Formats: sequence, structure tokens, C-alpha cells
Amino acid sequence: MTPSTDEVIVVQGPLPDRLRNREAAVAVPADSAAAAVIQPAAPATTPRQRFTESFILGPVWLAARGLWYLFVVAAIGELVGLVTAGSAIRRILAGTPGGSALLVLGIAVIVLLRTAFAIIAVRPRLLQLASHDDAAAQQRRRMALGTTVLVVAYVLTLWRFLGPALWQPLTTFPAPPALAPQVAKAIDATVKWAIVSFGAFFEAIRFCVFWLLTGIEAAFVVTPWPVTVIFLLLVAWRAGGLGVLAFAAGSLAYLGLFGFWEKSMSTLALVATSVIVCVAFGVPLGILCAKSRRSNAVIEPILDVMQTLPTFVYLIPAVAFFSIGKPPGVLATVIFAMPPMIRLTSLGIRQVPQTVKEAALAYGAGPLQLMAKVELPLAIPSILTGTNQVIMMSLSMVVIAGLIGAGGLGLDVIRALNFLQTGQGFLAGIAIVLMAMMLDRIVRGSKNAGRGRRQ
Amino acid sequence: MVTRPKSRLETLSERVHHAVMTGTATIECRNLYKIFGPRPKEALAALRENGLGKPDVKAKYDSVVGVHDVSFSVEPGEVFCIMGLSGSGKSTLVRHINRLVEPTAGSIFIQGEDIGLKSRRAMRKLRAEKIGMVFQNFALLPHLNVVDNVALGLELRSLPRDERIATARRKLALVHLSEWDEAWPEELSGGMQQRVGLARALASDPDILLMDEPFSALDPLIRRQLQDLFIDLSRQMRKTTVFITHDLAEAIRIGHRIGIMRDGRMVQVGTPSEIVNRPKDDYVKAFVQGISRLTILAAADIMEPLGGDDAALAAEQHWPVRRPTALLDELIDLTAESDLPILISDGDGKPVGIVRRRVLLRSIQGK
Repeated sequence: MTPSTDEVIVVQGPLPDRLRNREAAVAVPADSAAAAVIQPAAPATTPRQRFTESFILGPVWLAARGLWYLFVVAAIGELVGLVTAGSAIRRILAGTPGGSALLVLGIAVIVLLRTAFAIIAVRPRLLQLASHDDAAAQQRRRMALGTTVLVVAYVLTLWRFLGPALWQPLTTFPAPPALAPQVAKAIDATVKWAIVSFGAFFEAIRFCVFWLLTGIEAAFVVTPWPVTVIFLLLVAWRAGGLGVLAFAAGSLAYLGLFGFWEKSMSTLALVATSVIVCVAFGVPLGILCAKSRRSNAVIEPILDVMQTLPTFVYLIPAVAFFSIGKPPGVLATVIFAMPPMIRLTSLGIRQVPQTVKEAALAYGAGPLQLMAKVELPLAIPSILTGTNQVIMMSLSMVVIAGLIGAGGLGLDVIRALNFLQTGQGFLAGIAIVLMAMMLDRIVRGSKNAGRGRRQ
Repeated sequence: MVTRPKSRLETLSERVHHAVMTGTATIECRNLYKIFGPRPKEALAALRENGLGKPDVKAKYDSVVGVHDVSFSVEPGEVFCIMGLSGSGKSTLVRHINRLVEPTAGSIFIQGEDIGLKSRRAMRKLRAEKIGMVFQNFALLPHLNVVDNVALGLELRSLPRDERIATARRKLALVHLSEWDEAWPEELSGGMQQRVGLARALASDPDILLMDEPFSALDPLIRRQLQDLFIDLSRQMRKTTVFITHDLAEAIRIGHRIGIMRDGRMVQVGTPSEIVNRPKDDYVKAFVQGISRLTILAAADIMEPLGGDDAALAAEQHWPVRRPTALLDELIDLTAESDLPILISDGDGKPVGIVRRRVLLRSIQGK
């Protein structure tokens, strides 16, 4: 049991309060820290004393109370003040005008900061975090650490501005000049070796994606446009009702009227392919992550890399491995869009209440039945959210995939960019946005429809 | 208040004893231990050999003793209540009976078979066919409607859909929810959800019911209704039941016998009247304090031996006569109307004891 700051403060307050809290404190076991706090041995400081003390000590006072985040904020603030004052002194010495004004500004920053924290010190209620009941030894240790950090930071900074030229490794990070080029060269060699050694493997992947994409593209592009429109509208209506139907009709009209029909269907095929690949691999991997802590520990950092690695970084090797065209575009899209599928599937499965799983087990469910009849059905809203994310992220990759010859609407955006055709760029961009919104409404609509069934 | 067939209650202990001796108990647990923690086997050895207490095991092995050397058996058709405060291990104990929890040591027999020896597949079959379970938080599947929830056990056994729906509807009728078969669990009140839970437990017509605090989450009025429903069904179907509760009054109302748990140990096992009349220690006594004795204690529990001339006096003054099984409630009716003591005589009309007003009043007080 730890005493809250409140208790501590009120004990120092007016008499009736103090008595009341004494009683309350007596009720707790004698070994708790609360009992120690009200002992008369604890030295009571007046607000004036605390104000002076914290004003003089500044950030160190915060450090002594274990308020390390505030310590960092205060120290950086004071450094800004110090740097300002330092460069002001340099100007004054050199005779440049404006020096004295800067000096006043720098000192004002420091004084204002210290006053602000001193006010907090007087009214600790502002900060419920502050600990008042620590042993003196612990406070001294913290104070020593805080002082050391401050001294190093202040001395180095002031020296940088006022002193003679600093030892160079302290101003620029001492990087060995050969390291980065060597490692980069090694990576190049590895990639080259992989292309040569596993060429057949990459060719097989390329062929699978190509085959899938061509099939889907045929369905979307080769089919006469009225047929495609009817099917898309039917799906929109079933999923989201008349509102979504109207929106889809409007979007499709835009695509047709501005001459984007074929390209947008090609883009749709690319998105559909990447969604199929993402769901086909993402859902099983998500289940694996939810079920096995070890695979989660392996997969989680890979997902972080996939999501944050700048696209262009893997676009170059993608071209090297799969040459240019649509398959590498799909694969780059998959790398970018798959992580949310895996994460949301895993989340959905982990969110299934333990009690419901236990009930299924108690009625004789095996592991497969548990998955098929309880865990996956209950994870479906989450999986649909993941699918939605995949669609959105795939569409946002369409332009970048256009760079390596994936065609579709991305190509128009790239062309407009190359020839500085702002108007054409906008039209193509809006086509992508409309398509994204249409698909989003359809997927979200089907998710809500699933829930509505139950109401 | 329900009145049960008295002869059944009277001889239950003996029948249980007989059943255990001849191996016909439906459920039997022998020296069960369950220790949660990183080193259960070491903690178990320490618990058995050095007689460490629960806090010592926690401190020394970072392990929690859930169940501590518990043995009991449940006779066919018996309702066995396990009563204890939260954390006393009762929910853990009941999960041993269908091996949702594996014991650290000890064995469980169901209809004479050691279930610890069963394969996973055989265990699943046992759960699906012989054991129904009801949970405190209902644990209905939110994506299935009421009738599909009831049919869960049958679906997991891959019975044809028509058959399982028909069975589920029959079971829903038992709990008076026939009209709600197409509803979703979230549309039902807590009481109705638990009735669905009960129907689900009955769906595969199991021999054993495990009830894990089934009515604890309900408000008092609904709880009472469901207790009545359960007692009613239980008397019709004679399922062997293990019923977990933290409410002694509920245990007394529902159970043929009660086991009282504390810190993972079974402190006392007995019929309601044994528990109320002869609490084994202060812990049990504290629970018994607030319990009404009127429908639990019988004349046999409180009667005094006959004095030398009591039999003659009784005949002369026409004392009222009752069997030893007469409940206090009935004896009070007699004493309220007449100043005479009550003569207790057995089935052959042979006098066996006497109940005077003073003794009657004191026993109502629980002194």
C-alpha cells in the first residue's frame, strides 16, 4: 500500500483535517508507508522554503523527486535559455548588435522555467506524481544522477558556443568511413547471388502471381462494361443498401465518363489479386500468431519492418528479382498491405472470450472445432476490418506500383507527374480515391450487415 | 420450501458409503491436488511431506494451491453442492471432473473409470456425451442463436442438423423458452440466458451436470426462480450433479449433500442437517449462523432421550406423536397449539425420544 500524495498533503494542512487523516492513517497496518509519513519525525517544510529550494536547484529538484520526464523537459528548456544567452555573450564580445536583447531573452527563459517548476513544488497537488515519502538516501542518489547529467550537458553545450574549438568527435559522430559502403556492397553481392541461385524459385512465384492476376484482369477488363457494372452494383446494394448503391453508381460513372474505365478495372484486378494473396496468407499467419507466442515473437518484428521500410527500398530488389511489370507491383503491394491482415486476425482471435472457449471445450470441442466453430466466427469482424485495411493500403500503393510498370490508374498519375499535367493528375487521383471509398463502403457494409442480422 | 423424500435423505450417507465401497459412485475424486505455478511437482512434495501451508508455498515456490488433498464421491442421482468463498478452489475443483483442468496429483473416476487414463479423443467423447456444464457467466456463443446454442454439444458430435434442432427445441421447452428459439443471446436477460445454458447442458441428455455458480450472477428474485426450476428438473431427471455455490442457503436448498471448501481443502462434507447441526469448525459455524433451521433440522436431530416414565405419561396425557423425520417447522406447529411435549416414535410405533418446548426453541436459535 502506497500513500497517495493527497494524504501526505492534507496531513500538513489545517488542524481538523490533520486529525481526521491521522485517524485514517492509524487504521492502516503499521508496516505500511502511510504510517511512516505521519510520524512527527518527518521534517515539515514551509511553502516559502520549498519555493526557494526548487528555484535554486531547478531540474535537479525534479530529479530528486523522481520526476525524470519533467527533468528532461526542464533541462532541455534551460539548455535553450543557456544557448541563447551564450550566443548573446559571443555577440556582445564581438560587438555585433542585438546581443543584449538576446541575453535578456535567454535569462528570462531560465527564470520563467524555474519559477514554473517552483510553483509546482509549492503546490504539489498540481503533480500527483511527486513522491514525498522517499528515504533521504534515495533522494540524494537521484540528485547526484541529475546533477551529473546536467553538468555534462551544460558544459558541453556552453563549450560548443563559447569555448575554443571542441574536440571534433564530440561535434560530429565519429563514424568509420568504410563501414556503410562495405555493408552495402555485401548486401548487393547477396542479392546478386540470390538472383542467380534462386532464379527458378522467383520465376515460379512470378508465374503464380501473373497467372492469378491475368485471370482476374480478364474477368474485370475483358467482360463488357455493362456486365461488370451490374455485378458491382449488385454487390454494393446487397452489402450496404441504397446509399452505397448510389455512391457506387456515381463512382463508376465518373470512371467511365473520364475515360478511366479500362485502367481502373486493371487497377481493381491488381487490388483484388493482392487482397486474395493477403487474405490467403494473412489469415493463417494471424492464427499462428494468436496461437503460438513464439511465432508471434518472430513474426511481429518482421511485420514492423514490412510496414515501415520505405517502399522504394524494396521496390529496387523487387524489380531485380521479378523484373518489371505487374507481378512485382502485386508483390510490393502485398508486402506493404499484409501486416494489418495478420495483426487484425491475430487480435480478433485473441479477443475471443476465454469463457466462451471454455464452454466449447466443456462440450467436447477439439482444437479444430474450436477454431472453426468458435474462434474464427467470433474473429470475423476483426478479419473484415483487416481486409478493409488491405484494400485501402493496396490502393495507396497503386501509384508507386505504377513506377515499375504495373499500369492502371497509377500509370496516369506518374505520367501526369512527369509532364507536370496538374489537371490530368487530379482526375486520375480522384479516380483512385473514388474507387477506394467505394470498396471501403462495400466491405464495411457487409460487416455491418453481418451484425445487423443479430438485431 | 421444497420437501424432499425423507427416507432418501436419511440413508444417503450410508448409500454413498456403499456406492464407494462397491465402485458404483458416478463421480469419485481421490486425493486431488492442483498447484498453479512454475514448479508444481516440487511444491506438491513440499505440501505433502513438510506440511507447508498455502502462504509458504506461495512464498517459496511462487505457486498457488488451488486444490489441496480433496476426496469425495457423488452417488448416482445425487446433487452434491460444493460451497466456499471465492478463491477457495471450488471452481478449479469442478473443472477437474471433465478435465478442463488437469490435476497435479490424484485421480478422478467417472462411473468407475479413471478419466486420467483416457486419451484426448475419449475425453472429448465423454464431455460431449456424458457431462453437461453450466457457467456462472452463461458463456453462450454470441454468434449463434438460442436454439443453435442449445444444440452446441450435439453439433460438436456432428449429429444431423434436423435431429439436433429437434432435440434442442425439446430442451428449450423444459426451461420455458420455446418462443425464444430464434433470438440472439444478447437479446435475453441474464436469467433467460442461464436457462438457455441449462437447456444446453441437458441437450445431450448427459448423466452428469456440472454447475459452476450458475445462479450467482443473477438478482435474488430471478435466482430463486431458477433454483426452483432447477430443483424441479433435477427431481424429474435425477442427474448426478455437482453444484458450486458461495451461498450456503442455496446449497441447503438444492443439495442432498454439501462439501464445504476453504483454501483448497474440503473442510466438511455432510447432509444439510449434518452441516447445520454439527459444524466441524468455527469457519463452518460462521456460515451456518444465519441459516434458518426450520426446514433443515428434524426431530431426530434435536430430541432428548426418554425419561423413565415419559412413555407412560405420554400415553396418559395424549402427547402428540411424530416420526424422527418430522421437521422443526412441523414441530413448531404442534407446540404452538399445545403445551404438551412431543413424543417421537419410529416406524413401528416404538417411542425413541422426546422434544420439549425449551429444546425446540433453543435449536431454532442454533444453540
